[in-house]
Amino acid sequence: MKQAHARNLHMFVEETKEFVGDVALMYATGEIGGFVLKPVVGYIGKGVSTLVTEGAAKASTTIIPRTVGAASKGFSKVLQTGGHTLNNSTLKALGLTKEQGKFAIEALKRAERLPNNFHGKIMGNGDFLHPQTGEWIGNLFDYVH
Amino acid sequence: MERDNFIYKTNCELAIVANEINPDFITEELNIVPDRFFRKGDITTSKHTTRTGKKAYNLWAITSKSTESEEETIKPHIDYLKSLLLPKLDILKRYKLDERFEVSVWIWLETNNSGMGLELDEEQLDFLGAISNRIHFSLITKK
Repeated sequence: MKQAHARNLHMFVEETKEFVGDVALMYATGEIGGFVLKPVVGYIGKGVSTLVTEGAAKASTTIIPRTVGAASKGFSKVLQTGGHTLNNSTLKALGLTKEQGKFAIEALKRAERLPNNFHGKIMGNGDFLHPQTGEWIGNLFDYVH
Repeated sequence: MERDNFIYKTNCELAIVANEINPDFITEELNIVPDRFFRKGDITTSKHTTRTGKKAYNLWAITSKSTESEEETIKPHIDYLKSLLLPKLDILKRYKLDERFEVSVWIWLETNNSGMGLELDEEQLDFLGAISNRIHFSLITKK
């Protein structure tokens, strides 16, 4: 029982460290502002604020493109590959209504003249990639109405 | 679009996509200035993420002006395309048959109604069929 608790506690600490590191990296790369960072630190507790400082210091020594910074917070996650319509989970992750999503995907396909059966990869930051080559075609948020 | 009556916002675009043929060549041959175009290799940038990509092909397009109407029709847009393109019908028929080109018509329909019905008559079908390899309908409705 104790071992199980210790294992859970260890996992919690590791996940928290990873989360705080991500938040620090996002802060350092300008992805989020202090108004997000402060409540996060406050919520987790002052004991881990040093991790934030360390994470930010580590991040600030490296020039990280915005897209890489975005990757650290899961923005590079593939939300959807294939399908004729945007899934509810994809819409939710992107924070779009069904109407906005439909408008954006149709407008992007029209702008690029993609055939109806072209099913790109939709990433967490709205990027739309070629399903085979991974080539960047556009970003859904550029077409949100 | 927030009105009591149902409104249909529509427009049509004809685009010619080609891998090797430059849009300037199409502009010159048709003697029509495109409403938009891009060239293969052009760099495009996202306003949202500043990510860039290269256009993989050439595109030349003309678009009818977007209109809002209470009528479920795209006739004014097809008439507009006809006014520009009927004198160039032979060239467009040639493009349609030429594997180096893909000619498509994109019909855009937005409505605050839950759906819409649309009819194309024989003359419209003949015209669109004569000049294009495919026709796409984008129908955006409100819940």
